[in-house]
Amino acid sequence: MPDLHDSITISAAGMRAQSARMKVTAENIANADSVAFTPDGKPYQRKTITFRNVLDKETGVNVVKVEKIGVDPSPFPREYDPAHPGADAEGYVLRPNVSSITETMDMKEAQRSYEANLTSIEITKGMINRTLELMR
Amino acid sequence: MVNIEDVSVMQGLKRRMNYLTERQGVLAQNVANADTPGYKPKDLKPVDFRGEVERASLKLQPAATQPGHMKGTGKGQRFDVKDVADDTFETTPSGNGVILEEEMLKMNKTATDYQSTTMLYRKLTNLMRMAVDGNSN
Repeated sequence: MPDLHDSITISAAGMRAQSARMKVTAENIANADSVAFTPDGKPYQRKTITFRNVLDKETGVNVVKVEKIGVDPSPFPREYDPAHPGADAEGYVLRPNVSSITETMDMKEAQRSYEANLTSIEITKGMINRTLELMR
Repeated sequence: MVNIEDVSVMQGLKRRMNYLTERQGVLAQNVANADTPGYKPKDLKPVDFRGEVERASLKLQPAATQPGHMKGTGKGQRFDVKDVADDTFETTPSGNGVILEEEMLKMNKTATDYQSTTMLYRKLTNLMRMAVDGNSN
């Protein structure tokens, strides 16, 4: 028997997933300049997040969940700065593989999806209220 | 004059409400999976409710058995689910095909359809109540 409350569960799971995505993106933005401070150290490595649609056994509905939070394997860009404590023998410093523009766009998209899920809940709530009004 | 055939109209309305409830679930799932890689948006196959009601009131045969049945879903759906893949022309590199604007439009339509269905249902029950009570209160 289909239930409107299942729709709310689904949208709420979507909101949780997008929140996790915003957290990862915020972390990347905050660490966009975290370079290594020793020549053999590593700079901040960009984090990635992927989603997956799974069957939640408790409620019996398919909800979206965070599959895993991994790291971006793309290479670190090198910047010439021989005075820096983290500079190697040739004077290059490794910078984090984070592009602020990419992260900002990601954040905007996550926000849009979050709001779409929020609107879904509002619409479902309206339908539930209509049903309850039948009792009047 | 309320006669027994009108009850089949209420059955039709109830079925429509179930259909819209299930559709809302499918659309909510599309929106929640707007960023899941490889996810293709789904929708329910349109059901001819008017035809069903007409058939029921002609008493030709009993109410049709539930069409279709999707394996793997927890609660077992009562209406056919179709892939919207043919209508979609915008797919991201990760294989996700959800267009948020379209899903929101469909959701709004579902909500307003639901509203009109419940209003019709209420009108019908009021009519019946009038017939039973005798006075129009």
